[in-house]
Amino acid sequence: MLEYRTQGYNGYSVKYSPFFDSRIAVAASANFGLVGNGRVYVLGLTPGGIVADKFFDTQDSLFDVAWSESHENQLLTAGGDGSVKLFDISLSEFPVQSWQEHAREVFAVHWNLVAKDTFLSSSWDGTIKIWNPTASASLATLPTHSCTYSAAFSPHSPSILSSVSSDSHLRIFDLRTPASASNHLTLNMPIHTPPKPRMGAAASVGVPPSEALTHDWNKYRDTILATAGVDRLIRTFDIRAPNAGPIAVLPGHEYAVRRVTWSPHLSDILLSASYDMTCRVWTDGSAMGVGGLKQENMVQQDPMVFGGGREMGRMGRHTEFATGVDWCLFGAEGWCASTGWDERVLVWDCRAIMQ
Amino acid sequence: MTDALCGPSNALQSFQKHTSVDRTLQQDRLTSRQSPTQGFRSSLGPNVGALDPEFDAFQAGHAGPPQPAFQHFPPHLAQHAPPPHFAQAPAGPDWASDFQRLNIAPAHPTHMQQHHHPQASSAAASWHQDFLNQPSSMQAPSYAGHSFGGMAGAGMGAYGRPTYQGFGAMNGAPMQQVANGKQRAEEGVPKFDDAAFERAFELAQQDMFEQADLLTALEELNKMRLSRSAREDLSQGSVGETDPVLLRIREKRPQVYITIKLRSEIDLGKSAEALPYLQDLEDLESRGALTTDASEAKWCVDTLQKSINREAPQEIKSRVESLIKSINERLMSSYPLLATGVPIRQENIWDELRAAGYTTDRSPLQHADEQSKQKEEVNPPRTDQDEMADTAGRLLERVADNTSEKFQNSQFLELMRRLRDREVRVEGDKMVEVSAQSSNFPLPPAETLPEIDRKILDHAVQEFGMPIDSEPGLSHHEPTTDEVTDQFNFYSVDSSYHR
Repeated sequence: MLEYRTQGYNGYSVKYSPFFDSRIAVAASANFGLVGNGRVYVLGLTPGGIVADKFFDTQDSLFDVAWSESHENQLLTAGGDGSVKLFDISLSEFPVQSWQEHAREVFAVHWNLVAKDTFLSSSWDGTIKIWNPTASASLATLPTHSCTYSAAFSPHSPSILSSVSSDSHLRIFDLRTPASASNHLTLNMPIHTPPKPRMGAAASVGVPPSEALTHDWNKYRDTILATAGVDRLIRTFDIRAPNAGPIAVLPGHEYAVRRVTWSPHLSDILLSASYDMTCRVWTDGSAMGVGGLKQENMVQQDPMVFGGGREMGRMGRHTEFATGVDWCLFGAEGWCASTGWDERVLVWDCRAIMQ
Repeated sequence: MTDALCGPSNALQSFQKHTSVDRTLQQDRLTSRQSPTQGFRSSLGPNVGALDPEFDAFQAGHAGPPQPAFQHFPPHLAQHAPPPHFAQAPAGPDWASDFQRLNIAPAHPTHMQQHHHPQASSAAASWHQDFLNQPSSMQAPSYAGHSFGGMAGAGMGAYGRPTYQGFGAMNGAPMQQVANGKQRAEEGVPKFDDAAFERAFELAQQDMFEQADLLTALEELNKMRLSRSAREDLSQGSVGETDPVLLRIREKRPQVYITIKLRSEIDLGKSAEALPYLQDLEDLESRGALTTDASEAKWCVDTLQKSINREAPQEIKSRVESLIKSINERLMSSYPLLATGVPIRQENIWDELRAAGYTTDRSPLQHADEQSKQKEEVNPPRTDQDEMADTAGRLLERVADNTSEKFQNSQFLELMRRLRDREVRVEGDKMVEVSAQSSNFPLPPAETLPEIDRKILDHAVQEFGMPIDSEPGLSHHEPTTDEVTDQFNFYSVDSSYHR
């Protein structure tokens, strides 16, 4: 396990570069992001450990970072002052571009993985904005009317994007639809829908809505998403069956889940970071031979355990809330990086903790 | 709009949001009850006992019970009653005396409760005349113990006119049975309704808290961020105060705001409403917060003095007087006579108050102290700090049962602890130790409250102005405020005329 200390800054998000297996970007904020400056680190993995190749300071806290898919030296940051900034790590000090349209804290930025000329940002001001790095103003604004903690493009389509927000809904937007009254919104799924009743388990009663903090698209199954949030549950949904409720529910985290991300190598593996200071690896039970643990005792089944998924391991080295986690795209499957409010970035192999 | 949804960076609002998540249960509970349109009898059911004393009081001529009860007469009666009279019935006392004057005793003495004083009914309103003219064909005695008290009995008796013979026939015991039966049935339901539901509700709530619990708070913490926009939102989130200027005053000068409110409540004669403000001021004083700015403190003293110079209940008067005394003691102790640099910036207060429409004239001080004004604005609103501390405290409560080593050693939670205990505070873009408190004044930091010399007043003239007022005459200048002049002293806004 490799470690880097972001002295004086509490990590919020970590991302592996899509171009280099040895480059990691970390967004961090002073004072746990309550007040003060932000800093984005560009870290290099070297035989001698992790070194900071570069860092940029910002006036306000930073909550998320995303690498450009079209330019290996550029990355985006999401700022507490509502700004979205594009940095070029071959330059010093200043962002090459800064967009100031959001009225509140920007909590997510994400680059389009298919059409690599657009990216998005989502904010507490209740909007998602679509941008082009060469345009000075946003291309489109999609309202969610709710604090949008997380938004992402589908990795399978250039025009489909999704968001989760504090109103406990998963929204799917399709930019190909006319920008009519629905503002490209094509699907609005309540995350707190209870799972379908089934044999051997009591029907789950109403689940209260709770803020959804994070979500991610499955990299192999193009209609599957995972969401997680304040209610400590990770859920997976199939957008082909928007009313069917979750297809898997994964309980286990003791506090809210701050980040969830699908493996780029395996279609059923998830990684999560939580306020309970742990990062955990999960299978959603969709792969052959991994589920089935729950079948032994049909009578005592918890209705909120669903879909045959289970926790496969946990990493408890963080000593404050774990807030960011990401998979390495290269090399052996299982390498990942995590960050948290303990001012640390850890790079580790999750195969070591899996049972 | 999204502010309301997303919650603000100050967490109290988010807390409200989270506590309001539970609406559904609440509503279930309400709708499962009898619809209020069923009115009088059904709603009376469980409350009979409670209503009786009220009714007695009503009969004795005190402020009456709410009139709407009358609108809920059973329909067959209501259509004969002239509703306008009831609807417009003025405040309790008049109404009650009308009622007392009403004489239905001669026909059915048993209708009357003992403390009804039969009187001439000449002055009663016209419906009372009608009422009295009715041939009384009803069997009265069965109403004596009727749970609705004399009122219902009287009403029914009055409307037992010939056309209602059928009704009259079933009116005695059967009617009562109907009523009682209904009542019993309802008593059955409420038992389920109230007690059981209460329990179920608490259970559900507990569940919910356990589920959604802690990390709602932690997530809220994120929102504690004080971004610039958030700070602007802050004032809009406050409940109960809509005047933007007053809001600004509240943000910048809480004590001035509280004093204004206190004075206006006292002036309006609402001593009950005034008490919380008085309590607030006393708290502020005991923390020494009232006297951090000498000019504000002096302003408060002046205003308080004026407000009790007029009519005020004895209790308030004495409390305000002792408050004034303690403020003065603290002021004089903390800013000794020869101390330099006591900030006098009263003109700013007047500016703000004038902007708020609280004064029409102002003291003739014209050279506004620009510099100190700017400094004033740098001062973060105190309410921010309070809400941060509150939130931090609540967050800590929620993780209090987590005894894991990690949580015990968490620096973040330690920071929350210090925020709660106000050892650190947010200032601008920084967290600062309170001991290094920003004094905008060249005075020693008020970390520990200065000693109060309880006898300091004995050395001073009893007519306090500011002990070291650099602008003599200022304290004697009283701008025209919302003061009620003598000619209206007799005039009580609480009289029934204004209802």
